[in-house]
Order: sequence, then C-alpha cells, then structure tokens
Amino acid sequence: MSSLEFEILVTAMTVSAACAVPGAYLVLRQMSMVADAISHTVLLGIVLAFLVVPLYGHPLMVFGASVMGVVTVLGIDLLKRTGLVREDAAIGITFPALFSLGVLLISLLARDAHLDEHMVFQGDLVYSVFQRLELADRGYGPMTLWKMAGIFLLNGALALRFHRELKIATFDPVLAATLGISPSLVHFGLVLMTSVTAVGAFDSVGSILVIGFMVVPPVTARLLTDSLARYLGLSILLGCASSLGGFWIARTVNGSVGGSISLVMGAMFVAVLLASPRRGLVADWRRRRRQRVEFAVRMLVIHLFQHRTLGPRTEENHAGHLEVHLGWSAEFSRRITELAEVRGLISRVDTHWLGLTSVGERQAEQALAG
Amino acid sequence: MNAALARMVGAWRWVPGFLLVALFGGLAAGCAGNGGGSTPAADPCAAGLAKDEPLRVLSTTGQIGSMVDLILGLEQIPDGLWAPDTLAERTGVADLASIDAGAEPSVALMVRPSVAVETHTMLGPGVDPHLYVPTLGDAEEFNKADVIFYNGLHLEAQMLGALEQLSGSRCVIALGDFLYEDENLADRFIHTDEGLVDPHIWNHPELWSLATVRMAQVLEGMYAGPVPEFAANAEKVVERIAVAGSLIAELFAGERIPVRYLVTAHDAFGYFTAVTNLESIGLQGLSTESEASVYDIQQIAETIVAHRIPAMFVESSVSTDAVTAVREAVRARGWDVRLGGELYSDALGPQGSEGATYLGMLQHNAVTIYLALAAPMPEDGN
Repeated sequence: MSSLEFEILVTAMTVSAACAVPGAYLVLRQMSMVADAISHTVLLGIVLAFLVVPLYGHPLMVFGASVMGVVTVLGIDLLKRTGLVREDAAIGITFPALFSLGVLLISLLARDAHLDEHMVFQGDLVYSVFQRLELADRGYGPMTLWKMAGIFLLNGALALRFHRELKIATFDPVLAATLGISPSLVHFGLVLMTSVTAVGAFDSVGSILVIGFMVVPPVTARLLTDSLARYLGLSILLGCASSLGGFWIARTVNGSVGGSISLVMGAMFVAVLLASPRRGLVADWRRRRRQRVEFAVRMLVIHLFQHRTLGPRTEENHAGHLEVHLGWSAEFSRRITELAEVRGLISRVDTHWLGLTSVGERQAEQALAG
Repeated sequence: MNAALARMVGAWRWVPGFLLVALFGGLAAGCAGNGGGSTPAADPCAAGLAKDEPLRVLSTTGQIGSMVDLILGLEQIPDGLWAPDTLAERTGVADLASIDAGAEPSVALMVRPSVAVETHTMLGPGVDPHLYVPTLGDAEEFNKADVIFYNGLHLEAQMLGALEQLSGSRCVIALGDFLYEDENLADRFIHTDEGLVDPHIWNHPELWSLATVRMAQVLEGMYAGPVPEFAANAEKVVERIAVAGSLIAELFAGERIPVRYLVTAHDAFGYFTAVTNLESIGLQGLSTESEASVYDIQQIAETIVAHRIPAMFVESSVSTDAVTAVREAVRARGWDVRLGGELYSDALGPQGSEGATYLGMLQHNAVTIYLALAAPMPEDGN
C-alpha cells in the first residue's frame, strides 16, 4: 500500500469517526432524515453565498451552507410545533422547498454556470487527498484529514462535555427541563454540530457517503447494544471498520472508494440485522420457535389435565389424536410429546395413550391458576 | 457525575486514543512517504530529464490521450482516416476527392524517439467527463504522473481542486485555458450568455491543432536536451487535422444540407457547428449535470417542427432519455424526427470502432451528421 492510499484510508476513517458522533444522536432522536435534508438545503446557502461573492469554493459558501443547515431544522421545528404536521411531513415540506429555491435561483441567475452542489458537495476521497496542508514550505498531509480530525475532536469533546445534557434531553426532555437543561438548546447545538460536520465532510467524501456515515453505523450499533457509551463507541468503530473494508474492496477491484464504503456499510447492517445476538432476525426467529414449543408443551399438559377424569384410555388421550384436537401436524405432535416426556411431565400408557405425571399435573394446575 | 461518566465511558475509553494514534501514524507515514518537506521544484515543467529517465504522462480525456500517443510516436494515424477518395465515396460528395490529401501516408508516419515514457488516459470510452467518479487507482495515477494534460475550461469540473494542487509539484497543463489566454484566438471561443466558455474545443480543428502543438512543446520542455521528433510528429498530426478541416468545410458547404440545425443530447458541438456554419441545439447545457426542463423539451420540439429538421443525434456518453422525450414531443406535433446516429461528444469510441482515436472520432461525427442531415427529407411528417 502506497502512502497515498494509506492517507486515503486514514481520511475515510477520520471522516467516518467525525460523522458518527452527531449521527449517533440523530439516530437516537429519530432525526436521521435531518442529515439528508441538510445535505440538500445547503445548496441554497451556496447559491446565496455565490450571489454575494461569485467565487467557486469561497469560504463564504461553507458558511452559507452551515447557516442554511440550521435554518432548515428551524423550519422543520416551526412546522412541527404548529401541531398540524408530523415531523416526517415537516421534513418533507421544508427541504424540497429550500432545495428547489436553490435550484430555481441557479437556473434564473446562473444558468450554465458550473455552480451547483457538485462544486462544494460532490467531493471524492481520491481528489481531496491532493489538497495538502502546507505551512512554511513543508507538507503536512491532506488538508481534509486535518480538517476532519479537528471536527472529530471537537465533536468528541462536545459529546463528552455535554454527555449528561445530551442523554437526558434525548431520553427525557421533560426531566431535562426540570433539571434546568434547555432541550431546544441541546437540539440546536446538535444540529449545528451536524451541519458543520456535514459541510466539512461533503467536499471530501460527497454527500451520499456523509449521510451513510451519519446513519448506518449508529443504526447498526443500536442493534448490538443498549448502553449509550458502547453505542457511541461502536458507531465510531463500525464506521471505521466500513471504511477499512470499503477501501480494501476499492483497492481490489480498482473502484470508487466512496461507493465501496457505502456498499460495505449496507452489507454490515444487513449482517447485523440478521445475526445480532439479541435483536437480530435469526435470534428473533429462534426465540419465537422456542416460545412456540414451550407454549405447545403447556397446552398439551393442560389438555391432558382437562380430560384426566375420562380415564386412562380415551380418544382424547390418544397420542395420534392430538393433531385433531390441538390442530398440530403429526411431526409437531411427536416432537412435543417427546419433549414433555423427557421433561417428566407426561407418561405413556401402552405407548399410545398419554397420562400426566404428578409433576405435569402440578404444572397444569399452576398454569390454570396463574 | 464523574463516577457516572467513568462508568459510561468505561470499557470504550481506548477508542478515541486508538483513533488518534491511527491518525497521527497515518500523517507521519504520509509526510515521510511524500518526501516530508516537499520543497517544490523550481518549475515542474522544466524537469531537465535525460532521455533515458522515465517520464509519465497522464491525460484526462481520450481526445488528449490520443494526441499524446501520436506526438510520442507510440501510435500511428489509422490508415484511411480523412482520405478524400474514401470520404467522397462514403458520402457521395464527389467534390471531396479534389481536396489536397496532404503528405503521403508513408511520409506521414510518426517517429518514435528513444525516450522512456509511459502514458495513461483517465477517462475511457463512453465515460462522461462532467460526471466522472474516480477510482482508487486514479489517485495513484495522479500521484505518479510527471506531466498532466487536461482539457480545462471547466470540463473536468470535479477534478479541478486536485489538479490545481498537483500543479505545484507536477507539470499540469490546462490546454483549453492556455489557448483561451491567447488574445489572437479570442474570436474562436464560444461563450454562453452568462459569459462561460464552451469547453468542447476538440471539435474545432484549428483550436485542437494549436493544443496539439502545445502538448509537443510541453513534452519536449521536460527534457534537458531537444527532442525534435515531438514537434515533427505534432506537425504531421496538425497537417492531417488541417486536411480534416478542409474536408469538413467542403462537406457542409453550400446547399448540400438544406436544414442547417444540429440537435444533440447536450451542448457539445458548438465549435463544430461554428466551423460548419450550422446552428447547434443541445438538449442539456454545456455540462451534462444540468437537465433539460419540460419547457426546454417543448421549445426544442417546436423548433424541430417549425424548421422541418429531419434528424437528431444521441451521444455515446450521455443518457438518451431527453432525446427520446423530444422525439415523442415532435411526433405529438405531427412531424417525425429520425435518430441520425450516435455521436462521440465527450469521450472517444470503444477500441476497434471508428471513433477510437481523436481523428477517427472527428470523422465519425462529421460523416454521421452529414449523412443524416443531407438525406432526402420525407414529404411530410409521420
């Protein structure tokens, strides 16, 4: 691996780590769509900045874009607060409106200008790595890396310093208010953090990957843990791991780094969704199956208990008739009776007739009583 | 609170530290790998190479790469390209045969000087330069290159930041911007109403000849001693382009094409139509990023119907959706516009096709446009 490739890898990991911090809180607060909204509305900020200073890549563009991120969320909140529209609808109203205003302004004022969100927001790791930080004729590596490392440290420091406020305002806004923590202050602090991180990362990795970095690793981490601290750490780690995996794929097939990372993040989410030890679909399916078996055993015991007065050899007690009486398949009846027998709940009379043991009777009584 | 914080951060306390170590490790490695203090060479375009020292040339577009390969003598102009006789036969325009064909093919062979040079073209056949997404390997190609030729004038919009940065340590030449600075050429360039310059300059034979000469100069400048073969090769290429220019002028002159509109998928043929005295209509703007609006499509359909334009063209590197939409709109107005064929606008054709080289692309486009527009018009619509 050449030093250039290594720099691309480290940059990708840094960007993913920086995005994971605000992303983790956005996901917890069910605001992941806000990242998407911001990635579109910043266009308006850029166009407005371009009208003031018609220079490509001027710092004012980044500033305008950041401000527009906050304006977006302000608009969404105001709409939501009317009580007439829900949050998802408020996002759906606000960001297309602001975005289309930007598109309209471009087509009216700067048609054919190569001015659009691509200028500042469709960056690529491969290009950004050539933007070097140079001080006094010495090179210090890619500018993006330093910028995103700074944003990561800032985000991390803020998250650590205000972790209590963030936690309480996220999980219990009412309690936060009584404790003297302003939930809306926390809210806009988080939005500002998101905007700055997004705008900082857009021109190095592109907006789609930024949205991915903010949303996918936290959602994946959420499936793996219930502890807030572990969730935050895992979000960062999973983001970095995806960057590593995506980089490796891009290197193997000589493809786009951003595209490969997105792919790995998606695959990782699906894998965790299936295989997570507690929340995963496979674990869930096994739990359901186990519950079904437990329930069936209990039903069998109760069934036999209800008919215990009919004598040891009635139709109701015949092993082969369970299918009819309980609606089970032959295979399932056989499994359940075997399991109940192994557990010592029932015993067989002349192989075909079933009877309750004293343990089984006690369990049935308990089940019926409880 | 501190106890709670400590418990919370607990097992994951090492994460930020780990990342920091990775970060600074990476930086240290990066700086060391790039020669630490990058003392920029006095002029990266005057490297003073000896002939046996390796030189790596990177071209962004295929049009540039095609020229570089000819100048370096790595390729020859394919046989029969821009031969007046052949073209006269293909187009049925007998007058073409009377045009001077320039030097004999044997004399026009490119000479390969003994220099150790490697070339690479970033944008392959059918790739749209406006929307290109780079691969990881491209980073390495940028990094290894000694000379980088790009079209400029905002064609490779997304690469610009990287190219500007690279120009500190490598010889990076924006051919279009270089020509644009020449005041004598000012009237050749096409501007939009908003004052932007049309970047598709390779469709203007004269401008592209000058770009070719410039490439040869830059390449020779990299060496300590003279490499006369570069300029000699470039001269032969320029001569062939001049022949192409005369043939194009003759082909599109006079009354051969009654309806003088060229409708294409995007505004890539402004220079071609300027040279041939046609009127260019692109469904998308100069960049393929801008999309044709419903209004645009209706307007263009109106124009096609009003002027009875017989054919429009798709491009190899642009989606055909807008072209299809216009055709439907034209049909709805009781006129039928044919698809005249596929033009190579922003990228060369695939290996083995006529458009696989710059000169071939030019010929393919000219012949395709001529045949479609000169064809006898249907009596009426439908």
